[in-house]
Amino acid sequence: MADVKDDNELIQACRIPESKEYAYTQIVKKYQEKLYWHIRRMVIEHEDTNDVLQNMFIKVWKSIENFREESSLYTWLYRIATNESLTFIQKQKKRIAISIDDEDRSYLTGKLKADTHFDASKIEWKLQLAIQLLPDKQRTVFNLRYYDEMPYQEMSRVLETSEGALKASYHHAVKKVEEYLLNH
Amino acid sequence: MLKINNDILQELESISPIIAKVPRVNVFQVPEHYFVNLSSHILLKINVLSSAKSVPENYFESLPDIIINRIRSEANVVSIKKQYSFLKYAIAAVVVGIIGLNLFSFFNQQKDEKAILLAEANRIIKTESFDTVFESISEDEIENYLKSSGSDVNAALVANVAYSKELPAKIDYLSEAHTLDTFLEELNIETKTTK
Repeated sequence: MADVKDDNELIQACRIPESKEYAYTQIVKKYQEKLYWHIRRMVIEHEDTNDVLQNMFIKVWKSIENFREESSLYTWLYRIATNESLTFIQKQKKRIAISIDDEDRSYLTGKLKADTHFDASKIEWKLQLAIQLLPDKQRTVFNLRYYDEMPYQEMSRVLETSEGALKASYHHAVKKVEEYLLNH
Repeated sequence: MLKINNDILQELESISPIIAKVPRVNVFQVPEHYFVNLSSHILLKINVLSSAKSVPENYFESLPDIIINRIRSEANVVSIKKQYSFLKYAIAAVVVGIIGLNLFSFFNQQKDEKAILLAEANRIIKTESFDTVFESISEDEIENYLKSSGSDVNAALVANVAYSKELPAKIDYLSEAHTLDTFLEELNIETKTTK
């Protein structure tokens, strides 16, 4: 879990022009991997992840001086990363003329299957296929809980959704993934 | 394998014992040293953006879309219209309604079938302006035709004739050179040099 004292110090340092670049670099180095994998599990490809991650951190640079600290830095970063990922996916789908509400997730499963290491016979890849078939927000909940082990309280701040709704969403997501694994 | 928090595991077991047993493995690869250089790349990008003083709002955010749309619209025009001299044979086949004509199969056709096709293609070429015919066929139809004709045709057509006075190298294996010359003579069509 994030070291709040350190994060507060970094945020304060970002508000001082002389120390902003150094403090910002520390923030990037501290959270880059966690955020990378969070985004990667959403958008699948490394190149897309790199784009989203960099755009996300550029937004952080632009707005960190005005960060109100109503949530932790960790939560704020995750929220930006999640929104950037979902926006990216929606733009990609628009570009290839897939309805945003379309239940067809072949766009994402296609990207998964294009991975050079993809192996349909392995359970971990089947799990990924099952996850990519979830609706975008439900997939986000699943990833944050299953991979990032995020507490529901934190998750509710990231996704601006009630804890109860998140628990229900996670429950449904797990059942859908289970159903997929049993049938494939 | 990634370790799982005990509370998370217990919750998972209560919902699905099956999923709880699946090893939590990271299937994705990341380029070596990616994270080492990331922060410096981001700062470089920030500095570049900062020095772009009079840029419209959201310009950089929309730039990828602008570029992609422009490439698409220009590519359709350039790649098809600049390879006009080779395409007109394909266009003739489309016009006579022989969809999916394969140049390989054309060259392997019986003499009389070939003669019929040549005659029809010749008629279209001589009696109608190719520009008119060309304009009446959508770029999607041309592209679809080319794709359905087989990858070898596509390889030949996609070759960058725009920068070469010669036909794409891969045309050599579509047919023997003298067969193509004969074909051109039979159609009595003056080849046009592409730019």
